[in-house]
Amino acid sequence: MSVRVYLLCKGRQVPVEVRGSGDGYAVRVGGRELRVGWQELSPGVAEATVEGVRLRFCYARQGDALQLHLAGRVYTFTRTREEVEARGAKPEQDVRAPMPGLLTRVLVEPGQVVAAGQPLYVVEAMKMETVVRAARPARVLRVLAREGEQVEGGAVVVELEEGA
Amino acid sequence: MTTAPPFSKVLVANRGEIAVRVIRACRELGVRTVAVYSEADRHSPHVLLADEAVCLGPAEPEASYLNIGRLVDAACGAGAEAVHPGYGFLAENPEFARACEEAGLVFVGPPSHVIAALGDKDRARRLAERLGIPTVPGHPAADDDTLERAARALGFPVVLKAAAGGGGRGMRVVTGPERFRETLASARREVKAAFGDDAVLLEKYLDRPRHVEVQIVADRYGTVVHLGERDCSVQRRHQKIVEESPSPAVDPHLRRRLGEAALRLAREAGYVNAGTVEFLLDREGRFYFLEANTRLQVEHPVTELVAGVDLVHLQLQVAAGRRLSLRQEDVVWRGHAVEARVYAEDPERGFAPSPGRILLLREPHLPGVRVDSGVQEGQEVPVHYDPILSKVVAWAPDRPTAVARLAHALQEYVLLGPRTNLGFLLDLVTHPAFLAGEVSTQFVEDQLAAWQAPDPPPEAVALAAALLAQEPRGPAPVASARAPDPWERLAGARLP
Repeated sequence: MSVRVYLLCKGRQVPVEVRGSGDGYAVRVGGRELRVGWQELSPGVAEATVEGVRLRFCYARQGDALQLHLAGRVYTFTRTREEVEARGAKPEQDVRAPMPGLLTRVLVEPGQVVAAGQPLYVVEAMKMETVVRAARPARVLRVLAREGEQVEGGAVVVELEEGA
Repeated sequence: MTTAPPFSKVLVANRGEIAVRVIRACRELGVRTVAVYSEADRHSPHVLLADEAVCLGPAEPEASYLNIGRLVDAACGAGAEAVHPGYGFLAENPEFARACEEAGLVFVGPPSHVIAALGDKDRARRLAERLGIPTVPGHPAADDDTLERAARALGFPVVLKAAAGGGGRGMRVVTGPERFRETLASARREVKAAFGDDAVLLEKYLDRPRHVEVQIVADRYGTVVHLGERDCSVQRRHQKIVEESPSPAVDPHLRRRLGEAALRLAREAGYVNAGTVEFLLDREGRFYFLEANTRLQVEHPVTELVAGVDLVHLQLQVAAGRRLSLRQEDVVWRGHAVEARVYAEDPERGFAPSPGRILLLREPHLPGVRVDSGVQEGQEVPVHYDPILSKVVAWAPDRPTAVARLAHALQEYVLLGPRTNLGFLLDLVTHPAFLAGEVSTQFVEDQLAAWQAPDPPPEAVALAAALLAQEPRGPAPVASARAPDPWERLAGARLP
């Protein structure tokens, strides 16, 4: 029995087939099949064998998100349950907060027409001010947070309608 | 050698790695310590490391680490004799130093009037000019109209800076008149938030200089020594990220001239305690006074490793009124040291701050590598403060070996949970221009502007897929606790 997993990494989605094989797994990715197995030495720290090569890796999983440290690098993966539309196919209609922080200023109001590059709002986190700008010309539909509020990373602060 | 502790008890008015560093130095000298923390830092390592800890209040810096009244009350309440301010927060705030002085507490730093004189960049510049030390052309802090006129007169690009504090906060390069007002307003807001004062000054922007700074230490009796230079040219958004000592661009002759300029400035200002005199070095080897930092610097370990001194020990000793036992002719430099600052920020999202819980932490252990860390596994990295997590510092007899050690340490450093700049730092310190020592303050923009995290190799994708194909486990691996447990079996056993 094999499981089809869609992995999202660096904004790209990769379909992967995983099936149990002996003590480990056979993973088919990009037309190649890799035999992998690992032994967890302590929570999050493991020794793996990939195609007969031994590697040490560390990982942390939170739900469908995984960070993997391998050979001096950290890679971040998210499992998506099904294939999502390729990025860029649908223009983004909202401008999300780049990180959690304090919404220090909202510079637009509903109904306002904004130009590409126009500042929309300012988030302050870890003592850095980040100005969030419109990527393309648009009209502001709604503003969903108020100045002085704490916003989550990825939260929709301003909803835009393009081609206005 | 055993000597009496310089103080009986010191309050450390800071958090994170520098609080840990200062608490450890106090302990080494037999000084008891009082940590302070905000509600967001309850589980930060500095809190339990100190002998006592006082909660200052809510997470917001204004209510905690910037709250002079609370800090002074905490120090007096705990019976501390002295206050070490670390760096950032109130370290260069003359009112804090004065409040300590008035409460009968020793401020581990220069007297408040010296902080006021040197911390005000305009005054510091005028002092340097009076002593014949070259400065970068510019205009002192003024209102928006005056600064705009001055910028047009100097010619773009110009750089805007906080008049009241360092660390690159609020610093902005303006390339032309179009965005001058918008950029100035943004710089004023950031500066106001960081230092409580929105005064901004203006300087001509030099093309690709190096940032070279001289470490000084002075006692109350007029002895001032310099401990050589640090090269802090590698910056991103005007924040230093990699620093080293000695500078690849400084020869013994230039070192002597830089050192003499720094000593002259320190003597004239009546400087006491540890401090740093910053210069820009142009490509023709001319240097310009930039500013003086009246505190311990983030990058102080590189000087400690090559000069063989402990700067925090020296700070505490001179603050206690002891004479500096070090003479200029005693200062010798050995080998090379390089530091990289580890930040909780996401290089894949424009280096946006990346707070959150540290899920896994393995710090590197290598010969010649020192890690000054302020975090621990399981801790929540708060959103409210500077994103620095730790500093990795490598020493070796020569620069190539020190840089190679640093690269290995960065590869071994595992920190999962918040995103970090570790991968970026690794690519930076293995970049051919950095390896050749050919950097300027524009290095990151010139060479790494298009930097992207590498794509995962097939083995990483395969492991990730196999791990994620399994159903997520519960939050705690309770099963392992049910495995045969020798302690559990012992519980029923009776000792003979």
